[in-house]
Amino acid sequence: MRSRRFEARERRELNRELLVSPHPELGLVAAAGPRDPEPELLVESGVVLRLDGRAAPDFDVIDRFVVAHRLDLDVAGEAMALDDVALARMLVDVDVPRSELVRLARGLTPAKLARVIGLLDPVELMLALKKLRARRVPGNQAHVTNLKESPALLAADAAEAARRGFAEIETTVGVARYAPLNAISLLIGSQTGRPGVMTQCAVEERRNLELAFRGLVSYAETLSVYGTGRSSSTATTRRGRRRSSAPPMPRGASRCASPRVRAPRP
Amino acid sequence: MASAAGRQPLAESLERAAELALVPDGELLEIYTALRPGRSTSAELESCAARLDGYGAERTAAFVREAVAVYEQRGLLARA
Repeated sequence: MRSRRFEARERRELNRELLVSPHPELGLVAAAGPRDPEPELLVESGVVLRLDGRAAPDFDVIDRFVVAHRLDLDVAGEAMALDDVALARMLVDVDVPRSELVRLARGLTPAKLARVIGLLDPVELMLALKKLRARRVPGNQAHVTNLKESPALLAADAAEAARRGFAEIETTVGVARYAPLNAISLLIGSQTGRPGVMTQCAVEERRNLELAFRGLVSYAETLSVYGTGRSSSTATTRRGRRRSSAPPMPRGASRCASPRVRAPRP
Repeated sequence: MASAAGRQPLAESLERAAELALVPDGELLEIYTALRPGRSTSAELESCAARLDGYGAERTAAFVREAVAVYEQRGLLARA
């Protein structure tokens, strides 16, 4: 006989959500998608001519940034020649130091990096993350929100999250103009729970910056450089009631464990 | 310290943050807005870079100049 408690819980909205299995053909896949470009790097006298299936004149904003600021061409020849599996094994090998992996990674193209990561299972990814994130003490982020945007409740929840040890607390809003109120609630609550916790309120970019300038949040997450140059131009149209807007606002994934998502190429 | 520890990207971020600390908030928001796609001509962005230079924010100014070239190619500049 099943307990009534379990039956009642099963009927809750939250438990009606499904786990979606990967559908690579629809693009619903974390790594190794069928439309992922082949790793490629063509360099001629110090100039990158091709990167991951694209010729230099077709580079988008991110390609150009990668080429100009991230790729280390002195290492690229050696690193790109390494086998995907060999690199994947180095990521989980405790005898390969972080410094060596960082050195090699600077010589790998985004497609090559994605391939290597795609070979790791979740436990191996965690080990790789632990190795590569050079932190003395791990810090975790909590999200504190509530449906009614009650300042007192937000502050209380933020205080609890800080007290429990979260290093960073983020909130957002259902109604855009409440952003300063929510930011203040979070700030007061978090600093009451444990001084020094960082806070932020994820809203439209310019508002983010204004909140930070006024000292209502500790930092503003950046949103702009996502996928294509076009996507950042939509940021200005996102205003009013967030709850009713269809596409979720892209969030800065850079500080999180999740990799930066790149828009599929046309 | 970051530089000495071989954390070059972190060091560069801190250097940019330090130079931007001297730029007044209002101007920073103006320049930020000007950098949104379709908002500025290349001459306007060049004047943003010059303003940053004026505050000693040379690294950030170089980024703005780099953006002008990219915006030009990707059609993200405002029509003059």
